[in-house]
Amino acid sequence: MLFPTLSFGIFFLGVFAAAWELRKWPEARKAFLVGVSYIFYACWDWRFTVLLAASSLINYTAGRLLAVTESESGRRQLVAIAVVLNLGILAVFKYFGFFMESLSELLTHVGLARDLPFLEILLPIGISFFTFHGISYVVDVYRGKIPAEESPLDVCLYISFFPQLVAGPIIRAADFLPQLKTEPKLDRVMVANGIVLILLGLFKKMVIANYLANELVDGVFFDPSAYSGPDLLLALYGYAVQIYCDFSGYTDIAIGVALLLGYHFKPNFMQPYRAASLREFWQRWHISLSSWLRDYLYKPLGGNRHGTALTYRNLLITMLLGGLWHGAALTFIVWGAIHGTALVIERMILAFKPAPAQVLQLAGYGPVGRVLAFGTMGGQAFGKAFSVFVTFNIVCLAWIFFRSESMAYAFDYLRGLTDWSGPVERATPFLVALIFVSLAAHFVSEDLVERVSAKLHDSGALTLGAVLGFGILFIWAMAPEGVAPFIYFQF
Amino acid sequence: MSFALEYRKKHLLAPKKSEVPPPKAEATPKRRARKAPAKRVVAERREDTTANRATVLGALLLAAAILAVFNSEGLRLVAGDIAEREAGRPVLVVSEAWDDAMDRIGAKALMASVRQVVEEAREASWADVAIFAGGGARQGDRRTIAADVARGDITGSLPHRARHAIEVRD
Repeated sequence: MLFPTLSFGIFFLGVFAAAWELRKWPEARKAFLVGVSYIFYACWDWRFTVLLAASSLINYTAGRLLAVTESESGRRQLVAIAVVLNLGILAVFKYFGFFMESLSELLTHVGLARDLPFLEILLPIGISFFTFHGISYVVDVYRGKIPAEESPLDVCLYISFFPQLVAGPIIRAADFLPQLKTEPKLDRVMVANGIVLILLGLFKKMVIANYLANELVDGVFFDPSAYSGPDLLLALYGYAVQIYCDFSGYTDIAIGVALLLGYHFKPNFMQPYRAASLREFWQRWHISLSSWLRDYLYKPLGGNRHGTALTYRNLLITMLLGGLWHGAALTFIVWGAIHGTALVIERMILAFKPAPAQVLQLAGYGPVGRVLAFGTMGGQAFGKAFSVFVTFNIVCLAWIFFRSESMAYAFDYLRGLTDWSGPVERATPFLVALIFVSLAAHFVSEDLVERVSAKLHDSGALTLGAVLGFGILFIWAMAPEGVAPFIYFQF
Repeated sequence: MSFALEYRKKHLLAPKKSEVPPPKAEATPKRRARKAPAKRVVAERREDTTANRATVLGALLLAAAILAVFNSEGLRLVAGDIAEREAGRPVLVVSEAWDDAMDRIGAKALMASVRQVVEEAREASWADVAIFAGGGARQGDRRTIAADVARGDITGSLPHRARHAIEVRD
């Protein structure tokens, strides 16, 4: 059941009405939301609801055992077992085929070819997301951030809540579970923000992302050797916009739907393409994943606390595993490696770059110093624009591997980018404008959504209904035909 | 009592307390029931979950009605999927009848016109954009434009202003 469909609209209408009717009976409300979340998940494949339930049970049990275990070594063992079980489920369903294929290639390469067992395993939708939710819960209980839940219903709802179940955002147990302890409220700010976010998400996904996919990106990435450099560059920028609009559109809808049900999710994207460095990019892109990796992988590895060399190692490991999380393919690992390497190089450069305060001190050294300081600060403004440009293109370079079907396709793409002799076939005004306006939107005020939704704070049902109804109508009218699934459903 | 004493008692002396009627209330406007200041009323309304829930439910139903009227074709498509099962066939019949009715009253024109605008934008070429940005042709430019059309440099795929601009006259 995809978000931008009539069936989801009918589903949500029923869920909204019933959930608020049950407001005064919190346990019944939670049970209802768990039930509809399982129905939502079963629409893809009912068999995987068993897996979802198993994951919830494992994590709930781990939490209960942690609550009654006093010895530190015992608690650590429990956490390790729970994490291994969670990652084991992920490994079997997501990485078994990749592992067997890679092993087979390696054995063939060294002359030890074997017939290895072949199992076609279906990938349960959302498995990467609910696995990370489970690990987050167990580790937060271990660290004492939240108490172990006595009610299995709370843990089940946290892991299976339908707005974020299949494609995130990755909600922290410490952020969500306390909200289940208080009576849910619905104020006008939540209503307005929810409606605006849903409309914004639908527009990003159904109009921008779908047009770019249908009319530019899919065709060019299918056969990069058939296109010239300018077309490849345009398709690459188009993909950067497509994946942003597709993924952030989904999370906008998820956050909006959750708001209308009385729950707050943190933002997952903050205009990532305005970042002036890779570090800033990861503070703006898929924030829930980058912060999860920081708190549950990078910091436990040692973070930046054990010297420069280990910091670089930890960064690389985190980004490599972050790439692997996206998919069982070498292209995703290379994508992660590019980001990890770029982050390391960036840290090296920043270690030698003077801080603004040091630059300003130059002004105290007479007129020559003042000219130097002024020039440096002025140059910094230009430098920032240049940094944004460079960061965006490094991210796009990594997107080539993220999007390509294989390493061979990725290298074809890179080769094609250097050849600008062929005709330009794909650069229509519509597509160029779509890409340009979407990128320009990254530089508008960060609180624009809040300011727009503030206009609706005191609106009645008539105005809100008209905004929502005509908004969805115009989006459907503008969108290309068909409903494409969200990109992050495959992760 | 003599007349003088009586007169004095009646008109000159302060009346006894028991004889003094209770003082009338001072001439102030009638006290209205206390009203909360406007800002607090608005703030309370904003926080009222029950009222907000009703507002959102009303908004969702209105949005559904708007979509049912102006996007009846979408309903028909969904009904087509449901009609794959025997039990869903009546839904298809009803949705088709509804779609035809909306078509007759012209409700589908709104979506059709938006789609047309988007379609024209999609199919526009850079030459169309040049013409559009140039503000259309002036009288004296018609020969130049006619020559451009004859060479095939201008497609004129945009209607309205562009077509008018490239109208060729002998």
